[in-house]
Amino acid sequence: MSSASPPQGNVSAVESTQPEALDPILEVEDLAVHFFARSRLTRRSASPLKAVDGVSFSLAAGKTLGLVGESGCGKSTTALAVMRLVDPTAGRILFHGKDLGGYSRNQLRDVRRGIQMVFQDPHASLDPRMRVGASIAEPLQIHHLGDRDAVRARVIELLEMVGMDRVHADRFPHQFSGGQLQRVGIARALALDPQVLVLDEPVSALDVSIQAQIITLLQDLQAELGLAYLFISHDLSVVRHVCDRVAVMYLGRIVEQGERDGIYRRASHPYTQSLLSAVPRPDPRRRGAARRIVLTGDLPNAVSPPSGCHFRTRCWKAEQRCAEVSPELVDRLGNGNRAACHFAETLS
Amino acid sequence: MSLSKETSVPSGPAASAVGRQSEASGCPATPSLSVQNLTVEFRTPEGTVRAVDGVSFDVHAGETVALVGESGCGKTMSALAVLGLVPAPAGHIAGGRITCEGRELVGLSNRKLRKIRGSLVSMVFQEPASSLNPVFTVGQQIAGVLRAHDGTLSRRAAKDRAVELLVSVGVPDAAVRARDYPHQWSGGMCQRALIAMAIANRPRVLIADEPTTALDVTIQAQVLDVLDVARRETGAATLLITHDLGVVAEMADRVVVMYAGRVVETATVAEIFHAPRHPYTLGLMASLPRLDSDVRRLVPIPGHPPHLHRIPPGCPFHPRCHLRQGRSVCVEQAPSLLEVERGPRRSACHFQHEMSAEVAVLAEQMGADPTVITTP
Repeated sequence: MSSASPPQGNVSAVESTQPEALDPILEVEDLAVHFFARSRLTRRSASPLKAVDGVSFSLAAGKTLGLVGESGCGKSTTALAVMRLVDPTAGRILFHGKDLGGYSRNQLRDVRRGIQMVFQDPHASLDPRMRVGASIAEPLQIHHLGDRDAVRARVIELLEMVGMDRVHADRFPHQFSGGQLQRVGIARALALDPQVLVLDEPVSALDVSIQAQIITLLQDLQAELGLAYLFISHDLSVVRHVCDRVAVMYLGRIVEQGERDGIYRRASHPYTQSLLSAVPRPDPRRRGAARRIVLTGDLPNAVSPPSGCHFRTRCWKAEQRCAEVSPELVDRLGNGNRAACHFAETLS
Repeated sequence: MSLSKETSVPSGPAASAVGRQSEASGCPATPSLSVQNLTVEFRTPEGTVRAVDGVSFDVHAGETVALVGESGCGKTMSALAVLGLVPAPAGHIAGGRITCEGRELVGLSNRKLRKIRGSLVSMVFQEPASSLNPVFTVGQQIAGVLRAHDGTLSRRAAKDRAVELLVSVGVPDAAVRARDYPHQWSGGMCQRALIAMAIANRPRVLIADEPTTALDVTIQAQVLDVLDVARRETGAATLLITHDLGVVAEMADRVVVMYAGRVVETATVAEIFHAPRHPYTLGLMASLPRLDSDVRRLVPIPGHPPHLHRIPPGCPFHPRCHLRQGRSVCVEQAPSLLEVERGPRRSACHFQHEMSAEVAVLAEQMGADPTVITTP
């Protein structure tokens, strides 16, 4: 198949409704994903686990949005909901301005050509019994894109795009290192010429020298193909290096969102500030120089999060109001960062 | 909520005077832990492999030495060898000496090693949850470690001491929480308990194997503080095994860089980060995304680490090396770990004298503020 096939089906002209992103290809509005655990004894459902609770963001073509946060903050569930691999409880997901909400499985199949996903663990996300060439070819076959020879040619083209060799197509996953398998995962995601890649911790399982290879590969592919990335990671240094915009999540909600430099230089939410201060800097000269904000306590239980602001139980600024009123995600300081904190202020 | 860079951990009940002395007087002449020419081999169906190949390093009292390198470089196996925990029968120590406070550990019987583990040398593992026994309370497990090495200690006294230890690693409400089972504790809290257990018998050597890798960044900051306090209070020589160069920069005094089972560079932490003298160390620095400075482009090390069955001849790093530039000596001859500019630092590179020019080349390619990888 040709690598230049245009987006098909449900793709229409871009309708820009949000001023902050000029050309949003993917918009998520008030997304919520709640999981209901049912008590076996009473058959009554307990209170839901709100894994994602009112998350909104937009992603522009050719840009990278970073979604950061610690384990359990809902960043991966957000990714799965965008892919409709879990069904959202509420909210809208607009791809090229069209709401995916009411789509059937068949309609989704067309849309999924435009949004593809790369997973964290390449060993787990490739079938160990399939040659990697067959894994890469599978999406092409599902979508009936070309005959045997065309598929084979496209697989080789994809392997070469991700820096591998045609001979690798006939090998099995166990014959590769983690970095090579992640390249295969990226090749498979690129097979259908998507416009958006959802990358869920794509480099977290890799050693630092291999991580740098995959990061530069992703950057090169983005420049070449104009891809938009939703980049999910817990690693703030990696996110700073690859993202244009950043959203910080805590217990299912976005607590701060803005341009990359705004977040890293002028963070105004206490959680963002503590996260940034906690990252060990690879620079021994700075040791002891930076003020480290050490948060006390652990993440609260997501089934019964604190009232009002979810972060208040670990926040040094918390007052009565934080327990009563959940803070809106708005730009309080006029510096471009939207922060969900009643007492947002930048650190001096 | 602590907003200072001071640790939020209350200082322990009995800060060791020994530890403070040794810290104040700098490094004493005899290291607490000395590993000389350690070789660990494994028998596999495809032949014998060397997971650790002639590794030497010293750790002095009160000092933190970081053992860094990527997966499979032999850093964890070197640490397990110190504790006599190389997985048998496939693996064994094929050569070398390990001395701790003057005692030779290689070749000791299992019974003697059991006396040493948890008292003279102790270890904190990566996975806090799986390192604790699920069917005993946290307090019982710490008390058990105390009583295993001190037969005169009563149950009552051991239990009280366990609570004291939990207080010293910052477990809130320790007297009550000591009666909890591990599954009732979060990962960060479990790691505190393991640190408490590791320092319970005032070890002379504390080994921490990726102690924060499984933890979130805010919890990681807490645990690193606890570990630092534990080191200061016991005065133990600390061997920190990690792949996280940020953790190295914050915690270590000296660094040992390993690749394919061998030591390729050893130096002070400042030298490693700002004047690396081995191309592999430099490659790691150039691969690092930074939080505080702009790097236009990462310069990754090409290829991937060798499989232990197929370690390249000569210098094991030569197929990935930017500095080699086709020179044959790198393939023909394994470089020895030689002194750099007659200092205590050492590098195993035939062309280590070309490294300062090489650092400048990479800094240029990265488009970085050159002080990221060079000495200002």
